[in-house]
Amino acid sequence: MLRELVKTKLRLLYLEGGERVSRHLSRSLFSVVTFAIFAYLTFTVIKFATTYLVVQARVGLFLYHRLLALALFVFFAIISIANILVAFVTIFRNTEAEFLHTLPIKPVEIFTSKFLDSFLYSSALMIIMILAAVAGYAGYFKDPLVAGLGVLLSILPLILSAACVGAIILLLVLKVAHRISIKTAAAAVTLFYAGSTYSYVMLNNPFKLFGDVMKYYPHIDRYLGVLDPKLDYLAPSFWAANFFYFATTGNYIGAAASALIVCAVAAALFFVMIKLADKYYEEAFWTARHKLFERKVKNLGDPLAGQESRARKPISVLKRDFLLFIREPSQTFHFGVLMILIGIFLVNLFEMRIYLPDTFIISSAFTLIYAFNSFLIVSLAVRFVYPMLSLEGETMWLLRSSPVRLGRVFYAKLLPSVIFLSVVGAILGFAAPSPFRNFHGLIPAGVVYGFTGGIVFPSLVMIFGGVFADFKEKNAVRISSSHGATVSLLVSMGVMVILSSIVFNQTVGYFSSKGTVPVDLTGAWVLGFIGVVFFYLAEFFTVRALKIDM
Amino acid sequence: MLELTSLTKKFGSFTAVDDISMNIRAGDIYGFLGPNGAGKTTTIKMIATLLKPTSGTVLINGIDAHRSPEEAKKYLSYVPDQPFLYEKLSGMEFLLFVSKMYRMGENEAADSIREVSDIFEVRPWLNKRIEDYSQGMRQRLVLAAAMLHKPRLIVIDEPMVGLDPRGAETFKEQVRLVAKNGTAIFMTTHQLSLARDVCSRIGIINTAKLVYEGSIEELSGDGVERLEKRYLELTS
Repeated sequence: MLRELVKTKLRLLYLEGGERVSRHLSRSLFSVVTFAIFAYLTFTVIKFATTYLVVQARVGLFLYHRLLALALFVFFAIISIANILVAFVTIFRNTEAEFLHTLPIKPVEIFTSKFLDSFLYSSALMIIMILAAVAGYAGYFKDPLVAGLGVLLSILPLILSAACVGAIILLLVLKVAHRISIKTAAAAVTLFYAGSTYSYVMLNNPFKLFGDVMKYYPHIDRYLGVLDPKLDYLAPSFWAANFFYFATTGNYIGAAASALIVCAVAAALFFVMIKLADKYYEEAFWTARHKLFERKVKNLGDPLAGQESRARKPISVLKRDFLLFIREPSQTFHFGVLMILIGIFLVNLFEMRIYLPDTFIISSAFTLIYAFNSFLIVSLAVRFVYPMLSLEGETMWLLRSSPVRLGRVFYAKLLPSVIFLSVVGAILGFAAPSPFRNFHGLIPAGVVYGFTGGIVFPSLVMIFGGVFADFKEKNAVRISSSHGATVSLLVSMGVMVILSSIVFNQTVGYFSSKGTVPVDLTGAWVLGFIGVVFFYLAEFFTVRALKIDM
Repeated sequence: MLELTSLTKKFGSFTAVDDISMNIRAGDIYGFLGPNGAGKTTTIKMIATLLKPTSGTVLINGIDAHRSPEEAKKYLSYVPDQPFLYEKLSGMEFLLFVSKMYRMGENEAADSIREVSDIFEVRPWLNKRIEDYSQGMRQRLVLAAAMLHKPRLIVIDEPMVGLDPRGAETFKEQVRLVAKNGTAIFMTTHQLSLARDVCSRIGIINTAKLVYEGSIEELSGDGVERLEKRYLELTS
């Protein structure tokens, strides 16, 4: 039965993919080119970063792989959070899941097929990124075998582990959700993620580790496991990075042991997830459906009765979108998590102190912080701005048959996001120079670049929201993990890399003058202009999408 | 075939279905009527095991649907008001998929597909993708899928949605035929004429409570107008 389900899912994946290519050749070609450019960029950046860290900065192989472990941990946390959301909408709030529940299929089989469905659906981009990154790594170390084995034995099991952790947390949340409210459970999960990410970053402060490792100079390629916090052993990402360290340094027994741990953790988590699903999935499914129905009947009654007998004002597209947003738990939960992560990042920035002697390194560090700020804006844009237009699908008939100017609909959708993200960008930009004491002159540049980033990225993402609009999909999470959303993410990241290089160029002079020469802000004007162009292009593509034949 | 005992569903302080009991025998065509929001769909979703009752039981062929759902569903076919279909599969592929889910053998599935696709006149369309089907054709396909494994109980939410007069007539004929062969049918409808034409028994639900249960003749006498009048009285 499970085999049949999986076979059908794979066939659908193939059919939908093929369909997309044959029907929308230009879009597909564009996607392929974007994917290829992005993969090449990732390859180049990782190869360059590795060469720079190992050869020029001479951080040593041990520290290099500890930085890799930190990156893999963040990657692990992102996938598991993303999987909580994607799994919720795919496994519990989905018409197919409902249909399968009416058939005589074991619940655990439905769960497994839907888990694989959500895993394949949401991990395509991750896998491309990883393959390109590992290729970049192999490009430096000139060891394709290590790269190939690393993907198979370390990275893929790590991705699977992260997805399993997400699904396990989701099952447990739904298990307790009938006792405590789903909001309380979601808040507990958010706190758990925020707390563990914060603790991990605090425990593995790369700057402290850098200092500790350098005490062993010149033996910094050695395995200095004694410096590792013991809590690290619990993170599969730590062992995944260890695999690469051992394999690269020729310690094949160490590599095999690390790979074994990563694979065993993945297998154990998968087993635990399936066991939990076997025990709780049916119950959790009913709880999820109960909660959905509960929401439906929550506000029954006459809203015009008594005190509110005066007719209420008609609500605008803007207010409607706002109400729909705050009443959709998967939207508010993810938004809350991202806001908490941004909060943690801001606190860290204000607490961090970076003293680096080299102008090139200090400019790189500032650019890296700027790039991460931009990445946060891009993530918010792809997750929340991209689906806005497609979500109009269900009520297109209403828009199209009403005397509404479609351009106004576009403004109601994009403008609030642009304002919000510009403010977030400006705050992040204000915090970005904080770790660099005595360089307050960076603040205006940080704020201006952050602010303009808040115009450029949501507008760019909205362009793709229009080009790839899917008026049949009703779920925001699935829309924001779709093919088009992936392309918009990749293109935005490409733009982000270009902007980061502009920021680097314009701050390097500032740092080399020890802050005496002000930062050149010409790039910000150019960026602002690009933002305005993107905004109007977004309007064009949004209105065009809203005018398609229904 | 279907036994509901003190079935109740509460969402917080709101009672959607309140202490409903009924027994539908093999061969019965049971029409479940009621105004919008009365609790019909909630009841049907509990029968189809998509919702768990707050209290009470659902027995399908003597099996508790919420204690042994997989076993109970072998005897059940459920057709929701907005059925799910895989848009990218052809009608044939969809029917084959459903047959596998009911563990039908290849020959048995092929025979059954031939039979139901002829009955519902979807055979010429079976090689086409479902996304190319009209609303009525989709409903015919769903009904064909529901009858594929010769279920003992068919639960249908609003069966006439999208059917043209010919499709509607075919549906009525089929319902009568499968009931004659011992299948119990439980359906909700807003079309009183449909209830009068095919149902042997009627249940009327209003504000979560079953306000009437009995034979169609008892309620409608000799005409659909009297049925309409009684229905409006009971649900006012």
